[in-house]
Amino acid sequence: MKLIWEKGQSGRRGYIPSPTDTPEVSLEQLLGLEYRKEPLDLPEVSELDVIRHYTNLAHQNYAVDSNFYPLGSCTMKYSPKVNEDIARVEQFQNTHPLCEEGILGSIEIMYKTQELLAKISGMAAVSLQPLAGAHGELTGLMLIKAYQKDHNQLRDEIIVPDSAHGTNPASAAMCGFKVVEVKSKGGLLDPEALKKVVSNKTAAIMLTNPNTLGLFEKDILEIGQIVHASGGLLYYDGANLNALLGKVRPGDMGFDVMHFNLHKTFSTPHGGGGPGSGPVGVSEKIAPYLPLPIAVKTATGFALENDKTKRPKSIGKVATFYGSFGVILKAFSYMINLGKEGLTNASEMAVLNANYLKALLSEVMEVPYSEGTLHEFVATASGLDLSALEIAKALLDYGYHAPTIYFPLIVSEALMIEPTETESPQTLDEFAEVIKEILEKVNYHKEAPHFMPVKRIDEVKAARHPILTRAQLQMSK
Amino acid sequence: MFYTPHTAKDQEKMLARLGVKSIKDLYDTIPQEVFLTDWEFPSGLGEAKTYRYLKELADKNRELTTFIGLGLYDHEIPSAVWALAGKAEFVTAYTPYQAEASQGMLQVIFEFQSMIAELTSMDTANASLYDGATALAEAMLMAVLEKKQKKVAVSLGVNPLYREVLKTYAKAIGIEIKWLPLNEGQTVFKKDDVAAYILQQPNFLGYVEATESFREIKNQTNALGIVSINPVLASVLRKPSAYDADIVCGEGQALGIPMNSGGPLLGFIATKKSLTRKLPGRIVGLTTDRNGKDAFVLTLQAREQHIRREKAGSNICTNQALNALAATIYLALLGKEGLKEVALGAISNTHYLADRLKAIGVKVGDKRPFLMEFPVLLEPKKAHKLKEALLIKGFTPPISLGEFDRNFSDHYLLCATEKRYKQEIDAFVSVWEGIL
Amino acid sequence: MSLGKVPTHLLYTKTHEWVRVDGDKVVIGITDYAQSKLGDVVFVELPSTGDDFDAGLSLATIESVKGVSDIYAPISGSVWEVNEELEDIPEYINEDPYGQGWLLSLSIEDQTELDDLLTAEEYQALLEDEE
Repeated sequence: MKLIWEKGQSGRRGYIPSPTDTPEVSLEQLLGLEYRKEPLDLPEVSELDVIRHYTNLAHQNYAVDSNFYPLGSCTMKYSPKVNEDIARVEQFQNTHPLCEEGILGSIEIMYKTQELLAKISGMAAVSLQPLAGAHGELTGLMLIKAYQKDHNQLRDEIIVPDSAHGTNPASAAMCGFKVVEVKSKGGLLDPEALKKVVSNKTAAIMLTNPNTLGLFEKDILEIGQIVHASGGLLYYDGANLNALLGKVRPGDMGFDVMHFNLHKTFSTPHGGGGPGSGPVGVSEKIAPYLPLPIAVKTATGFALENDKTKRPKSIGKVATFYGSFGVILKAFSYMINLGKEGLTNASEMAVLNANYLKALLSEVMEVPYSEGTLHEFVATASGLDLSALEIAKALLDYGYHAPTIYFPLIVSEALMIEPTETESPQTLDEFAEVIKEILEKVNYHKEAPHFMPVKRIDEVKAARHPILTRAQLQMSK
Repeated sequence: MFYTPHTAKDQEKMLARLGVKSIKDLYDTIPQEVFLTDWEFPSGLGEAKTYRYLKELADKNRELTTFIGLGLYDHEIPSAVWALAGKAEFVTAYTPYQAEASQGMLQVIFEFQSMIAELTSMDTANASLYDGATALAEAMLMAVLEKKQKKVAVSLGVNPLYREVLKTYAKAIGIEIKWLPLNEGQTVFKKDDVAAYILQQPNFLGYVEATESFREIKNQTNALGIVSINPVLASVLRKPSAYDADIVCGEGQALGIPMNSGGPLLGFIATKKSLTRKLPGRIVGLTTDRNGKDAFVLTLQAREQHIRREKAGSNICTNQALNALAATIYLALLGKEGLKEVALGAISNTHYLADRLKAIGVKVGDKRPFLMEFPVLLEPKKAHKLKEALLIKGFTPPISLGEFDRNFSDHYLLCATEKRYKQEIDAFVSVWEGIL
Repeated sequence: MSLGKVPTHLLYTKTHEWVRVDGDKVVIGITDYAQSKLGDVVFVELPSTGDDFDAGLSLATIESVKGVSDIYAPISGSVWEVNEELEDIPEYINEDPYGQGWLLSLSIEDQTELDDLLTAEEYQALLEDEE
């Protein structure tokens, strides 16, 4: 392993900024005590050094474009290349957000994206400002807090099912809510159990639907009635929206606040871990609380509304500007490209693929909550001779990215598998065959992976004696 | 356009395997009352028309010659940055959970953390945060949790856009903010019982703060010191560790990321060794594999939401990895000398612009030394005329600070990065000359 | 799973801390069973000496690769001494939970609170119930 610094030579240059043709300012004179005298320890490499280094690193990465990537809960679908083409157009890239006259096209796209997301979700209004799913959740909870406070409700509890993503309780706690966990029954939220925890302290319930087991909460309408009757609100975690496009809308199910994950459902890609985008959708009564600025339609076109006197209830800003515009643009491109039929088809094929793969794998693995699978399912390695971790590592050797493992917490030795709609049944057949083969060669695979750039990694050492930077690495030697 | 590979025959075969008649049967857990029979949504345009339609919308934007900043800057971007960062192996991967299949991205993040630690003069950095404003909010939250004290002091020299975000977070979390006023463009610190003092260097007016006063207030109190920096200007400004900063954060867009109508951006955060385990978000560490070979892995995960759930300090998950990659490549290309040259070029251009405007009688706010941005005073009527004239000539009008901060009505903010030529600056100034 | 060692001379809590009375102080750690459940310990966050805690409050956290556990004060008191060695060698908790892996000592405020703790026998029974 060589870091980029080690590829260089003192004095070597990779990029030389255009020479400035204005008089040079003397920094020492201008800054005095505020001048940085110490040199920066940055690499000294040529452009080709840089190109080789990062190209070789790219080759050490599994990605959707090279590998089947059935990472549950993450919706690793194929991202159409036209999205990338459009996002590189210079009239989008070279525009400063604080010159509204220069971004009228971008604002129109933001407005239209808000509209399309509202249609898909059945929500009354949408803000594109949140910068990721977790940020959308946080924003959603801020909206709930503001709404409840505005209605003189001292409600400080958020109900979260035990199958929820970790972000749900973390977001709630960040906003100062107490988290009340409710146990699922048969993999689903039990209205009777819910009744026992709902009270006049309930600010909201956070639900993922289909939930993290890939199952639709079939009692959702009754759940909504119970929570609403107590004065609480319904929050929809949009992580699994890909299962429902054109089939059922969170707004119709009674949800008051939700977030979207544009990088999941709308293919914007995941970027090796971001940037994403996490717009929030809300019902009519929550709309006045949405963050500002927000794109609006005017008599003459589209504009950014930032007037607090017009929207006095707004919670304010949650991001520096208007959201991850480049990501929003790709999601918009995806939505208008596929349209109504394409989005519905995406959802249907995602559900068909998950059910099909579940059927194939059920021959060799148990799927504990199997009834009513939509876009993903959770198998268990418990009772097998290999652990979920060992199966995951063995899959890497076969060129597959591993499923999500050890989540949700309510299934032991969980393997959470989401094939997505863009995989062919042939890929799924091959994947199932490989799983069967892995389970037949237990001893060999206990040591997996064998063929990756590195073998099984010592995570304990990493956490006990952290080396997080090059400087710390040099000190440790 | 459909991107699903299923032929009619595939579907038939799959349904047969499942023993169901139609795909609709797979949705039978959805209550009939809410199952959509039809919904209002446009039909698909297909790829070519999608591109053309979006290109038309792009043409409604204007690529203006940019003379503004306020947290987002028009710097040169070397071609190699996105030639590499655009590689599908990076673009279409996800969070490096499976370390053995993600050594590439993990090493990139390790290099990013190393470079950010260097720029901020801190010991450790995380893998990125959403943007500069939320990075500052996370830093505030870190201090509040560390000091178990729900009160912070924030300089009014902090970017007003960031201050708005801090206010939103503070209100939701229940943190009290004490605002520290500016006097002659310089933050006035006041001794207080707070979790942190929060400063921006240079402040939003472009002025360089006198950092000794920050060091002094830290000496007099038990508070943490948080500084929001500009990573390009950090190459020429006194190291935050020298004035006793504990957490340094900021916006990394200047490091090779296009302006993109405001996003996606790149937040970063770094801190001292003692606070490392309080950092939010992902962190990559170097360890070894079972054969003793160097290997990278996501580490210190017990801090995070997926393990600690409601007890986590932050709810943040993965974010901005691709932009962190772009920044890493940018910093590798620019290197030791290049980043300072960018800073010097921008500072020289900005000073030339200020001098030219002064020469034609514009009131330039130069009470304090400034670097890449400075305010000017304009009468609103003239500012309006100027705005129209500049737009016609293809320039961005100055940012009206009164829109963001009532203390600065009639103040307008200007910036000239290293990307601007003397000729452009002269042409820009000649428009002013015609109006004023 | 093995229930681990349960030394007879110690007192225990339901949350798997052990307590050794040492004059007017108590020394506290986590049990063998607790450390094996937790897995490899990677970091320990301890309070400062002089911090006061009521019985039942969280006074430290132990991180393993798998998760985080709160350590609760078995009795009320103020922190007398903490095991600073754990900062560099957290693995002591796995290797020697009743010896080098001790966490901290507390001054005893109210002797009667000790009566609420479990004996080795009672703790052993609790473990058998849990498994």
